[in-house]
Amino acid sequence: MIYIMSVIFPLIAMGCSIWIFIAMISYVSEIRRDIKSHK
Amino acid sequence: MGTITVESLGIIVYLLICVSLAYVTRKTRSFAEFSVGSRKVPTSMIFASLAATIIGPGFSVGFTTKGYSTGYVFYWLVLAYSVQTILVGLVFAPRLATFRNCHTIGDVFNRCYGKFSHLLAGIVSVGLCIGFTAVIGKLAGHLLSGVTGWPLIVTSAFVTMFVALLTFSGGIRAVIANDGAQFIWFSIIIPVTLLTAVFKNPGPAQEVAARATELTNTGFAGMTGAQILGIVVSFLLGETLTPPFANRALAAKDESASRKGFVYAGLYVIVWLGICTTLGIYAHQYIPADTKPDDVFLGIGRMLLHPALYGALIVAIIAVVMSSQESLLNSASVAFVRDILSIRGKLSDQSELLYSRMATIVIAVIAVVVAQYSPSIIEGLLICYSIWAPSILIPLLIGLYVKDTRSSAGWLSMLCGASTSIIWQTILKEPSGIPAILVGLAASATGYAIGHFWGSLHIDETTEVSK
Repeated sequence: MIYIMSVIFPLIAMGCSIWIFIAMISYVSEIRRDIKSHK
Repeated sequence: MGTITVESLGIIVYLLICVSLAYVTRKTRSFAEFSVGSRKVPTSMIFASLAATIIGPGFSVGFTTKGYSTGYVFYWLVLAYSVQTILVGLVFAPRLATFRNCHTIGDVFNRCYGKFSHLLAGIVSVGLCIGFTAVIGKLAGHLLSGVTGWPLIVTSAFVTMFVALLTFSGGIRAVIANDGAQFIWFSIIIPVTLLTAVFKNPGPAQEVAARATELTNTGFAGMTGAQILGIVVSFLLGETLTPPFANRALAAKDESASRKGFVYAGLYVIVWLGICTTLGIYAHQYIPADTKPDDVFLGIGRMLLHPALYGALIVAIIAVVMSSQESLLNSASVAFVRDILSIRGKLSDQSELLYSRMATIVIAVIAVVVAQYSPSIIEGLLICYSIWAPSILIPLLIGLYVKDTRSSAGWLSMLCGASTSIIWQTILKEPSGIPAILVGLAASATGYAIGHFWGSLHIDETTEVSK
């Protein structure tokens, strides 16, 4: 169990971080497009 | 370059990232954009925002402290929180997402039980958010004060007001964008700290595993059944669908995004608490035995990491605090305008937007003042927990599914639940160790039943969208 908690879990968290990094760029770009389209 | 300089540099870079995100998302044209992001938020950002809001100082620094002193005891008990989040995702959040003309929990109460219940839900929502903001702000103040040496009142005011300035213009879109950045930061740095502890560990992993078992067994042996029940119930029910979480359900682009966002966040909490607890257990391999449990998190970081990474770790703690405070402030301002200010008559969209922005700043100032008089952090959180669930949960969950509701059932349930819970906790001091939440929920259910059979049928006047 200690192996899962100390190695696998950190790797999962870092993987999620990369996923959200990509998703956030897309989300912020969407907001910018939305703001510009209403100018 | 000295450690202090690197830390300060890290904090400045991080704050600049936050300001940049707030700047690019600052323009909101309508109250719907400010409060629920025009209901266009995708699964990934609902997940990140929920996870960032859930993971406050208690679920990071606090769990490392608990891991250091009692092994995995709290990890197993607080998994109740993950179960709650996953259940909300599977059952309630998609249902809440169908209330398309609602911006707050209070709006849902208005649909189900009428204006008086709407007002009560608004007062509880705003009060709860101010309480949580104050408690978290105080803890953030302590952490920042430890790094900068500034007085507590200055550091807690700085953090809370900075967060308010980030979100007052862009509303929930700015909150979610910043939540994303904060999630990325702390989900890299804190796992890296644990991995560093694992790979630098001079002894065998079995030694750490044996210590974890010993700490956990000793921890459980030192607890009574009532204490265990109290912790599980508080974490299972205390934060269920509180305003920031309900706002995410309402902001999701569809029911599927709402459901998946909550389920993923619940699963992530399992992973996250495991990381923070294990970091506390590994700390025994590195830091002196007489280290105070509260100093373990920063102590192991200082011991293991390069100064630049240690600076990033401090920034990660600030990110953890800010992400929770942002969501609370946004929810409080929206609930204040929608559930309290608008109760006597509908405001125009632009007035709602303007008042929400002003309310963000005013509520932040109130939270700073409250923080100076608030009880200890844990006590403050427990008081907040014991009010929310007994007053809101039963009428809300019934209202989501039952069509023929009674106005009196809503307000009677809320008043009975909240008053009983507060009296049980603060005056009677929880006799026999029975948690105030359970007693309050029983009173709330009784009040609901009486109101349902006694009252007349409530007719929903908001006919724009059917249930």
